[in-house]
Amino acid sequence: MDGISTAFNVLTTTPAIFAAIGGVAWGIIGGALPGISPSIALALLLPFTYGMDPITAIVLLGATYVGAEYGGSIPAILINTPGTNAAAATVVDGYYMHREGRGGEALGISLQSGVIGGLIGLIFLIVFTEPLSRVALAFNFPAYFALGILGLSVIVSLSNGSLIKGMMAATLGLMIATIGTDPLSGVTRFTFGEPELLTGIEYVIVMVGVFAMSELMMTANTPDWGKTDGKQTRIKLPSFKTWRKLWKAQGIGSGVGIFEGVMPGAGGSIAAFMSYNEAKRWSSEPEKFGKGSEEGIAAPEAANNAVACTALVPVLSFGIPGSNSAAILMGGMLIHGLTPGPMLFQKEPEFVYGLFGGLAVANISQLFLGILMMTPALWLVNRPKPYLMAAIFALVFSGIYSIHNSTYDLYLVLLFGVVGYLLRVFGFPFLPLVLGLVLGYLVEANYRRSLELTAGDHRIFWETPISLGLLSAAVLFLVGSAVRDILVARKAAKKVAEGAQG
Amino acid sequence: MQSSAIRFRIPRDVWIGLAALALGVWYWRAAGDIPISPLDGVVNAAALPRMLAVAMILFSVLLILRALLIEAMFLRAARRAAATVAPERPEEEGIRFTRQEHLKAAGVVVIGIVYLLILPWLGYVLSATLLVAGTAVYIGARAGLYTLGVAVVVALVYYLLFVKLLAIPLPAGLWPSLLG
Repeated sequence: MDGISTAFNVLTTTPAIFAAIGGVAWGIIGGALPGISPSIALALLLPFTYGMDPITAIVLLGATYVGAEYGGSIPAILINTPGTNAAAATVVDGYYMHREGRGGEALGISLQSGVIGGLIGLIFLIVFTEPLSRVALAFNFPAYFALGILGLSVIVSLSNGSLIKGMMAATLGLMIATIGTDPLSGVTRFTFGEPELLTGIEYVIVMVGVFAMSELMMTANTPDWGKTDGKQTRIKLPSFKTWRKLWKAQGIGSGVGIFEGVMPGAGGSIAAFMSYNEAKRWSSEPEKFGKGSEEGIAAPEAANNAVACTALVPVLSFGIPGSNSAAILMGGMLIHGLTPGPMLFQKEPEFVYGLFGGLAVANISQLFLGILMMTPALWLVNRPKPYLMAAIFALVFSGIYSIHNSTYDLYLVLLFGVVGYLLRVFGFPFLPLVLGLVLGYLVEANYRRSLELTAGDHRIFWETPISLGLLSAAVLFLVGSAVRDILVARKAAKKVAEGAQG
Repeated sequence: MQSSAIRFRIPRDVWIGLAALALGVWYWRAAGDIPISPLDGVVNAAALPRMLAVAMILFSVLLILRALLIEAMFLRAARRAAATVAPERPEEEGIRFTRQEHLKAAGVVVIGIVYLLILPWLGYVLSATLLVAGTAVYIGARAGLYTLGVAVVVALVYYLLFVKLLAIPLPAGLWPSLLG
């Protein structure tokens, strides 16, 4: 009950409630625009959070994540183009229903399922985060170092692309994190005499660069997306009779979403497709899937909204983000001086319960904001892409400039935009780089502090049981991933050889 | 006899690996310039950067070896095919853009640099108008009054949002001094 009263107190004494509503509204618009993923919608918002108090800022970001997952289904249903990767599974039956003249019904199912999935995911987040963080309270310096290494190795192993490229991206992220004044000794590293680099490179600059700026560069070569015909855009929420047919699919979607949300590297898209398949398997009408099945929309939409909440479990419990959006959210916490992880519950209980309360408001308000934001979202989707992208470019530059009133930061955004572009083109995953950046301090500080305790003796890392366990798990993940890579390469070689034999 | 025409080609990952190798070597040398502090403990501020440099060099070598191994496997399969069908090269990771497409993407960065150069002179509203109009036309909008109008509206909305609503100062340019 303490948690509920704390959350209520926070919501009534700070602007967090408005941040929750504003975040969902922005998230729906961002998610509805093809090319603006939830992570880009979050990155665009980051510079604006600098002047806010921590709770308002993080509730705004969390609510944006929630709204973006629903927003992605709007163009998926109306123009056969998913607004987000996680909405790709919704296209199949959603667009079919739209062609049948049932677009409004499909949008209503998506909205209601998203709200249900989000609320179930939120309950899981509230119930399980605190006990998990109590486990993490037993952590000491070597264990924290090992946790950082485990987080990096899990993300490297589970991210798209090859293991070697994932490890290179993580190393690059850690390299960027070393720029600036060393917090332990006070010496400057890799600043090249530039005073602007003394405090290091802000997370927001790297994130906006690699996510948003590189997307703008990619978009110069992609055609405009389709436009809606303006018909069947009136949302029709499912009746009780229809909902009785959907609850099983929504339950499956929420369950899969909860599981995938806490798994690092999985994310909303895998959850959406997995839940689609499971809903089809358990459906009494599996033959309708792919031909306008209501359950085919309910399951993936419940799943990706559940992910938006449960992706915060590893962030709040261990300080390890499992997806791009969660990494940006964690970056937002670090910007505001909050250290995600077990001590957050001890030091900042108001923040944690305030965040839970804000997410509850976000998920509930999504039901009416989904209806309210439909018109502006569709208006924006129907604008020509060049104008939208140009406006986003100006927003990126204006937002980043406003942090330090410095054009130096804008040159850095362009630089990291080029880095992000090269990563995309050469097939490197983004998440290990971002994770290396946000975990850099945790890894280095705890590595050095551990060795201070033992006068440089590295045995401390395997003589501490938690550290030994975590490092062993990290090695297992990397070895497993290396074996997977080799098997994939052998399969590809076999395919080439078979191709050669005609 | 198609397969006889297939020759060794340096895979893209080899070039990427070489570039990353150069980065690792450069980073190692730069780590050597990190000063020693009396506050340094057992592990100084250069220790982690040195480890990262070694890791980057190691991963680069692994990437190069992997790419060469894949190419060797492909060539062996191609030779086995001899007089039959030439096998297809294994797909490369990432995206294959043409040189023109890369140049088009680089153009967005050039527009950004031009904006940053004119910003201190022309001030926010005019520079942002040119940024929006220039980018829109570059990506595919028709150059004309409509595009210019959209750019003016976007720049003014952002100006009002940042300066009036959020009270964040944006560069005024030379206008205040010119207008007295």
